[in-house]
Amino acid sequence: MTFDRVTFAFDGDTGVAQRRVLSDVRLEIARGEFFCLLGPSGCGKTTLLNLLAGFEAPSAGTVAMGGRAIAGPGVDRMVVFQGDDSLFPWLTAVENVEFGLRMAGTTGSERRRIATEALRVVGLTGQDAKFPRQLSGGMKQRIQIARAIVCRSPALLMDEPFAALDAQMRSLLQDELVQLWQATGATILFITHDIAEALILADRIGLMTAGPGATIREIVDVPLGRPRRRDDLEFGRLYERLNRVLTEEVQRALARARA
Amino acid sequence: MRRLAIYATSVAVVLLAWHLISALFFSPVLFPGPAAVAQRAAALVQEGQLQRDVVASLGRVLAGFALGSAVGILVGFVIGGSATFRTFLDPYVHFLRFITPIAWISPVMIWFGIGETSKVVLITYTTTFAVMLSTVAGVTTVPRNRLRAAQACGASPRQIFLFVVAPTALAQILVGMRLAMGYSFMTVVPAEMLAAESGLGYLIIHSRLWLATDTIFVGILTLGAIGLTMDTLFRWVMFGLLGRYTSPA
Repeated sequence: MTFDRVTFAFDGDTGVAQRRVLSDVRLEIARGEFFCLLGPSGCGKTTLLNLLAGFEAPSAGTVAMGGRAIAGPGVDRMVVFQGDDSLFPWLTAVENVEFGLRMAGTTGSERRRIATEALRVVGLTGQDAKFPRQLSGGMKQRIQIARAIVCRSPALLMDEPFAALDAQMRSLLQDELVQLWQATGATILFITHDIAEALILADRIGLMTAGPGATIREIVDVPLGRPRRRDDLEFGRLYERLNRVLTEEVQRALARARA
Repeated sequence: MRRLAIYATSVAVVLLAWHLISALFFSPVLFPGPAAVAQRAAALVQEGQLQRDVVASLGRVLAGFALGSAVGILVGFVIGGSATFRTFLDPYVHFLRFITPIAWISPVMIWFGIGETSKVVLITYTTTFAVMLSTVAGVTTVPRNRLRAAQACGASPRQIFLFVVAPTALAQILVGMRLAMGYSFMTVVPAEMLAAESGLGYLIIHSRLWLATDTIFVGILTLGAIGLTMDTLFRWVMFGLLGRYTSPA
């Protein structure tokens, strides 16, 4: 995945001045890499993901995957959203997971088999017939992950998928996600504002500046072995370093808001 | 069981109050009690008059309701899908919303005659607006992430409409249809009062000439009873049969 001098601004219609969200973003994510984007709230992380997902088009520059410019959404880049409003509430867990296969015209019994297997992978065996409203927040995010993996897409784009979960559920799902990533070899772009989360998951972390007109301030390698431990000495040292940078960006955003 | 007991008590209390008020304060000609009304109802059923009127009114309501729902859903999807269309039609929608169907009775009778057509047209008009507005509301409030998730799953625009937009809008559409059913009943009565020779509205207005208050009461109570029956049926379809679409997420 590559971002080449990407700028994005919302159209300045109905009297609102054009608002620049991203400017001059350059980024390269290798195939099979687990990349985390870390930045203060509202800095444009989601916009960056939306460009890669094909939900938005850049105002300038190019976003590409596998050497081909992104022209729109596609099954080769599945998305896991933050909230649960992306699930289909009238479909059961297994029917939600099947959705992509159903769109592709896979036969009923075949897609049921694949979806049931995907539910097993995310630890939801036996919950197939339940509706999303009958499941907890953590389970709903697992459905989203299962829905994304049935299409065997080479890339997974995740927009703060665990932000609304409690701490225990979050760290459980983080560990499971790493295992899933190791098993599938997919490229993952994962957005978070949680430094510890980024350190548990990522091969590399992209630190964003505060918006408007945000860009990537620096890219930090995470030279920790896996499985990672939160009580590792090096983990603490990296945490401090990232925290310093992030605090600086947040303060900059606040100062700009006051001005 | 407890609910049923409360229902039964409620009906008994109201019947008793009705009986007492009519017996103690009014002449039976002006305000007949429940016994007199029941007697009259039995007589009307025996003559076959009540059934005929119920079938006539209900037929008009159902025809107009079905037609209006179909048109309302269709137009609602078109308007809901296009911001330009929405803006174009917006002033008319909110302008016409305030004109009661009763105001249209005269021109509609001039255009469509005093036969069945004019009644069905009026009910269709009422239903179309309610259903169209709720369809537009349903279509325009599909969560953006739900649409995007479907796009990422490879859904074509046609598939997004069929498998995401329509099922999401269904709950709102049913709410609009349920309201429209009530509006249809409220429209059929004045229409039958002004131009008809059958139906419950006709029964009520015609009985006024003979000061047959008991018959008038039979007409009014029958309206409520079939309305309640239709709504119960509707609720059963809405929350039972289609429950997976109407349960809050």
